[in-house]
Amino acid sequence: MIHAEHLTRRFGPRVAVDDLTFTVPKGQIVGFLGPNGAGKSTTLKMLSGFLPPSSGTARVAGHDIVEAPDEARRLIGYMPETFPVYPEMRVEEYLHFRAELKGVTTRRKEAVQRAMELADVADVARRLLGELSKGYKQRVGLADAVVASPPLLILDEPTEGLDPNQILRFREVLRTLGREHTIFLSTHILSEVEAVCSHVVIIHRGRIATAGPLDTVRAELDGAARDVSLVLTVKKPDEARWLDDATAALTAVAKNAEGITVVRASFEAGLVRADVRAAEGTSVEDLVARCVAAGMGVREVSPKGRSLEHVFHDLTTVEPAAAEKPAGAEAK
Amino acid sequence: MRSAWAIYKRELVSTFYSPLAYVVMVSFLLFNGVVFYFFMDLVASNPTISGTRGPLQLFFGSTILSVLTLMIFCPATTMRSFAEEWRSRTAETLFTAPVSNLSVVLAKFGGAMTLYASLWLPTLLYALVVRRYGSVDWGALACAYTGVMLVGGAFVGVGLLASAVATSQVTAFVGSFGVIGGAMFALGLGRYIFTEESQLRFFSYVNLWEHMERFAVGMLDTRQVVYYGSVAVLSLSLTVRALAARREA
Repeated sequence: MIHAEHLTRRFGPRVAVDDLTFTVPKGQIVGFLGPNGAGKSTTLKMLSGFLPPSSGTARVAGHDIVEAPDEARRLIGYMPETFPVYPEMRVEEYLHFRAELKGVTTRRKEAVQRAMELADVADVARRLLGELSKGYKQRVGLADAVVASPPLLILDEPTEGLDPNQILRFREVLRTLGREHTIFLSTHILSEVEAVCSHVVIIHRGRIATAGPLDTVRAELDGAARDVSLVLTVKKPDEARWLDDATAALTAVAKNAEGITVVRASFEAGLVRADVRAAEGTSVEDLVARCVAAGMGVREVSPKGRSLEHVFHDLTTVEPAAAEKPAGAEAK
Repeated sequence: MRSAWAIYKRELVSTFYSPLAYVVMVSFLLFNGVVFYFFMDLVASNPTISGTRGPLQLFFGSTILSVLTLMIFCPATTMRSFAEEWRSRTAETLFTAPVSNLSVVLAKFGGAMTLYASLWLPTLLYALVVRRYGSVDWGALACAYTGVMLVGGAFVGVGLLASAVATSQVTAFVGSFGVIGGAMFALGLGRYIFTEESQLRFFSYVNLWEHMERFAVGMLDTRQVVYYGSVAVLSLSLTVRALAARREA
């Protein structure tokens, strides 16, 4: 749906977005992640046709945003960060105006009604935009984005300013919308991405850090070292020694088990509770097998799944040069 | 062009919902009412000065006043147009809708001209006042209003350009006031500086207020239409360009 090619935007000497190439597959909900100031909003403004790119381009369903901006914009429902409004207009009136502007010629009333219901703003239809709360304004912004039923929705931090209940409701709405629309949404709330997105594009300092299906991105980084919590039993333990320093004792037992590092351990009522790190390439199954081979009994295994938060943290706290991954940068 | 129509309608809603429009209208009528009263009084007390020119001709064409007020009122009709869209960031939703910059500019121009025309509309009552005490040359009056709209079109064009590049309504107002005032002054000064016939003819042509004198007595000629029309078209095309440049920067 979106094919960005070497998308670059400079503000004077500052490069806000640097050579972004990525794909947003049709019919998917794609999360666009990055720390504040990474260039998310600038990228979305370029895709939606507000800012022209300094170089590079993007195609929206085959329409080049530089060469055929009107055709591209017709396919996009864009919701900017902190939705700006004409304070003197009523909600309904505003949405009628937007629908007309976007070329909804027939059944405009129904389109507006449907958008208001979807975004939960029907109860404020006759209120002036200027007196709405931030959460309501955001939702009017969503209604605006969907009013012409465009195939692609570009949402810039859509849940900003919503209360927790509204956020949950919003995610439901997103999932519903995701059945008919391709959605590209930026956020810095990671749980949001994990809750609704199938794909993710992560940028850092204007460059792609990683991109692809959420599982792949997680797994890609998962291939590296992983932490596992274990509850073990040890045959004929020398209680005094284990009580004294369980970590050292376990390290001694596990020294033959390849690829396992003991991070910390404690001994209590005959059970060893341990956090261990399996080296790169060692699966949880391998780890258990090696523990058993080393003479330990395994009671409980809880792999600490690397959350997106870890991935995000790893990717966005290193220097961009190190985070660059030209080969894996394109989502499939 | 359907999108331009939608924007035009929204402009009217915004304009006539805001108190600014009425403040501008009332002060416009107040000022022109005083001027008209002055000319009525003048003609009434000196029957000899009128000749072919009744109070309406004097009101529209005898002094620089009819154009001078536009130096203030035209910027007031346009200062909101784009400056407010930039300030409130609604420009972002406006320009991500499938509309061309040209449609937006034409719609804003239409909106500002409608407000401008509505400033002048009540002055038609002056003609009724004159008819009560004498006769009205309706042809000349139509010509005078055409002139007023031509001058206004040029000034509104300049005002829109200022609004498109300004960061606030105030800078938009000051900018267009400065440009219009400066141009009036500089082009009007020409006749006092140059002495050659051709130069004088040139400065008489480009003088922004002098033509009103001819419009007021019913002389409408294509040269003036071309002159004011070109100023408007030039300003509007620069405005279209400015809107694109502002997002490129």
